Amino acid sequence: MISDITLGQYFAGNSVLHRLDPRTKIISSILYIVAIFMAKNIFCYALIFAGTLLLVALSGIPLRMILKGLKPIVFILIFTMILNIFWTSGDSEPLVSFWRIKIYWEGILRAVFMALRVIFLIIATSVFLTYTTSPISLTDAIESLLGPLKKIRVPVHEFAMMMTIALRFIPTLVEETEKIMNAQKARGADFTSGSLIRRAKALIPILIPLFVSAFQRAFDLANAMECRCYRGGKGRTKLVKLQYRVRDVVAFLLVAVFLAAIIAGNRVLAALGIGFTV
Amino acid sequence: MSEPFIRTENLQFSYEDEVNQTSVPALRGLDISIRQGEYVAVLGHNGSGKSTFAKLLNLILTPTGGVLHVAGKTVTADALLTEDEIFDVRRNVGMVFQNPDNQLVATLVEEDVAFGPENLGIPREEIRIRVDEALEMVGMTEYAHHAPHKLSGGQKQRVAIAGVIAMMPKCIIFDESTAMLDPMGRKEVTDTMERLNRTFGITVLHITHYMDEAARADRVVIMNDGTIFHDDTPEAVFSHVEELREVGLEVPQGTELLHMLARDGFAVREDCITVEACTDELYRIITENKVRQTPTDDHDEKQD
Repeated sequence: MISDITLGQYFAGNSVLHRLDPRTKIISSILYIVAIFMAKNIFCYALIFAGTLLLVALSGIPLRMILKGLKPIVFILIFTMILNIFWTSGDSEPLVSFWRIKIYWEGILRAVFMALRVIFLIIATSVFLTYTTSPISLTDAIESLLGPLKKIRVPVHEFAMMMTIALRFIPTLVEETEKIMNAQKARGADFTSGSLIRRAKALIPILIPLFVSAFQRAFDLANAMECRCYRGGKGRTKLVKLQYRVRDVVAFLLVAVFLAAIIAGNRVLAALGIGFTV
Repeated sequence: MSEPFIRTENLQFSYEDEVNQTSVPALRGLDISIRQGEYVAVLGHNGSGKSTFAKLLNLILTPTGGVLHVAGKTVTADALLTEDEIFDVRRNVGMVFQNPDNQLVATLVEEDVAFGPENLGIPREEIRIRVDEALEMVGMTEYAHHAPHKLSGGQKQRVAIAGVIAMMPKCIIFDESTAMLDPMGRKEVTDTMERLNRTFGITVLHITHYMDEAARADRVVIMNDGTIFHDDTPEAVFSHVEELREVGLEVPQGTELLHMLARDGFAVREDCITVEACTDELYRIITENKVRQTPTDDHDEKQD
């Protein structure tokens, strides 16, 4: 189904996280992100670590896949770590000091925790959203959550409709691109050799027919939609309505408690002088 | 019903050619009436105005002259309908287009079928019932949770039909809906059309250039150059083989064969249009002429 579309990384499944209402997942992931940024004390970090592990376990997504998802950010991680290490100054004696570069213990700590923070963030949002929620239910959820904006005339329904249609036509246009490429290859077009500029130029005979046909499709679709009495979101009903269930309430409560625990933990632990603040 | 479902009086339509600043007439005065529950095929070569006619019925285009009565509303060039009235016409006159890919909106078959009823503002429980019934009627129930792009052309077109049925229109227009399909898909779609008409009494207007499909209708309208050229039962229309050829149409092959036989002096009926009827007629003349025919002639005729 939708998972066949090479968009996002939706991982079809039937775990608790998959079954949660997409709106719950969006709000929960926002709360979770807040919790991640609130965490100052090392024990709070430990709690976040445990919470993230729990999320991964609940999602039923193989750990290997999640780690693979982190690959693209490795470079950014290393870059921010280096910045943090060199640019943080501390009160204690520098660990390393040569020429104008001084590395403090605080800098290393800060770099490590910054990196951890980003890693937790990516894992949590991808487990909550991209891996366990299909693009189409995300669209529905966004429409529903932004619903109140309709009152100030934001065309929320129309945006959601556009997203749905875009998702619907991605496979169709991919298929079309392949057809056009084959047709051009059959006439001797060469897409794989030559310089970069040459190869970019070779794409023009693909892009032009693709655009022409996409516009044709858009006209046809608009006609077909009008014929089926489409006239925007006003007075429209929906076959599938998102519905909060008991598990959504439980999920909300858990995430809220988690956030509260992080905030309280920061204060209490700091007051007691346990652990250290990062 | 006293007033026919569709009635036109001298209906005209011209396209504006923006390049040459001229208007190109597509319909030059059309008079036709179609009753509720009829199964009509509209035939014509490219540019005969048949698709323009279809688009007028659904008010995608508005007439530039004459009068159009459709679904209890009257449209003329001067008296256009309000948006709400157009909405009313469209919920009664459904339309299935040529390209199955370009009329499906949603990423799931079921949600696409629901699109029309959703637009009509029908309560959710009722939509559920309609969607299930519509998919049942076109035989696509088992595909309810599939993605449209995974289906064959004929299946996609059946989903599109289900999407129209779910709106419960009185009339469905098929605007060359079989043109892009393979023979299997064409059969699926025409079978569905016939069932909708015969079993559920829905008015079917099938615009096509396939003779064999038109032969299945109760009534065939031939259009040429923006006017009606013939309007009769398929049997009567297809007996005008030469005339049809003049306007660029070919009659079904079996009918043409019988026509050629008749021209060569055989006493055959020329009003056979389905393959079965033609076969029966051929069989009849073969057996009747058996005594007089040479074996070679006999062989030739049986091949068809």
